[in-house]
Amino acid sequence: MSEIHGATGSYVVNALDPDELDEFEAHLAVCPTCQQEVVEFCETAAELSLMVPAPPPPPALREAVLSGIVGVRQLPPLPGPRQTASPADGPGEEQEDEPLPVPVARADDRVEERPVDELALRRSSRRLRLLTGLVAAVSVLALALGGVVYSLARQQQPPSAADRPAATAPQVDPSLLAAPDARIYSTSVNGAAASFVVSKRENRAAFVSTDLPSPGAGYVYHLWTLKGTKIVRPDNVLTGGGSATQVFSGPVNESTALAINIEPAGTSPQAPTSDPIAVQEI
Amino acid sequence: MNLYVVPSEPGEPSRPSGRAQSGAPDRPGRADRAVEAAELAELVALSARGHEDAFAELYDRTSARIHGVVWRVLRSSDHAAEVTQEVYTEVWRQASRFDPQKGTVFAWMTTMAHRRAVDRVRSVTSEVARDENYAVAEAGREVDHVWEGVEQKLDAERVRKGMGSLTPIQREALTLAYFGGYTQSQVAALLKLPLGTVKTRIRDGLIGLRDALGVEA
Repeated sequence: MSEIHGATGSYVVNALDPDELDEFEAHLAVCPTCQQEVVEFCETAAELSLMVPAPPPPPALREAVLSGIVGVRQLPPLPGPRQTASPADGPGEEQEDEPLPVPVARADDRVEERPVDELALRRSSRRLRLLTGLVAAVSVLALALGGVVYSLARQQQPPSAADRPAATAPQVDPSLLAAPDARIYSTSVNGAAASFVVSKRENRAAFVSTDLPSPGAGYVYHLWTLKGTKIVRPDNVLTGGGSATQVFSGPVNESTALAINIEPAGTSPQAPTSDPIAVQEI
Repeated sequence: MNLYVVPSEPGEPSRPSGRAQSGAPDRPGRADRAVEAAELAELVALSARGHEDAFAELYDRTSARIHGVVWRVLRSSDHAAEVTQEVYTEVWRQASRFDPQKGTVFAWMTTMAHRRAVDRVRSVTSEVARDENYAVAEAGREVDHVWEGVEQKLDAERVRKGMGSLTPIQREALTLAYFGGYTQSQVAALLKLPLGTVKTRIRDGLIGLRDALGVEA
């Protein structure tokens, strides 16, 4: 495979440097293999965006968006064969006022597969932006190492054998496992196999992992119970570094989900201060 | 609500999968996602014909996710709101250009949102120095929302599991590029790896994630 094909991933996550971006886009316009991969990677990246919780949009944004489009001229459909559900409304002989370059290369005999247009809508301010980006990269380095890389480091614990049934670990109180409605929900925590063992009837639950990586110096794993989408209650904490188990104080019977995250040791947060690393509906 | 709970029964034998109406998803939620994709595509098609109410519904059904990806890159509520509005204005303008043959509405919009967020972060980082402390403080203020929506968290868990199938370097390179908004050269500098290696890891990471999630283009 020639080297240029290998740029698909960086292209989709908008990480190509300007010179290579130009080169790759020229290649992309004529390479069906890369076009296909770019399409697939765009779908994948869209899922990736789910991974990290973020605050919801401010309520005022809706009104701003909806009033903002009033009077905004919509672009006419692109010419050419289309099989969409929306038939063209007319001959579409409008003036092209659209400033966006569209890759032109196409094989006329084939169903046209232009690479994802939006990625091709490239920026006029690219070079200026890159300059500021490089300055920023230096200033952010130390901060990133403290934050981003730290959180990544936590994920780097070697994955444990996923087929080890954590729920049979001896630490779990057998009477919980023996509850008539006991259920074992398998999950993973930072790459380690883990389980939530739940008996709603007995109002009991436990978290257990046979190979839980350390949460990092000065941090502990923190359990939470959730009720609906609003109520998050702090529960017990546990440390990692090998076999680990902890019971929930509950109330389990009125919880709808259990979760675990990482919190600074010695604190008693009333609400989570970091993203959940596992959530289990129960 | 579509949840990843313990399967209540063993997997059904596979049957021919009519995409949208399949009752036998081979992983949870696939059929639901197909239905949702078709509905969103229809909303975009209506928006392209000037239906503002369809566009409003499109906003309602996608804004949490679109704003989320923008916010995660920018770490600033003000910038995130601005960029999100830009994205929706572009969606409105370009609605007629959306082609469901080339991917889902979410992929189309997320691609647009991510690109604009990255553009913004690279143009403003020197202003705010992308202060992680600022981001943390702000995240603290938003904490009431952090875990809102268990369903979304379960989706997140699914993706996280996919990420778990990657090697640490693949994961790190992909995360820095996607959420950090760094170029691959910046990622290479951060990780002290050759550029070619970073490029390969980013691509391999996406391949691994694509395969783990069973993403259909």
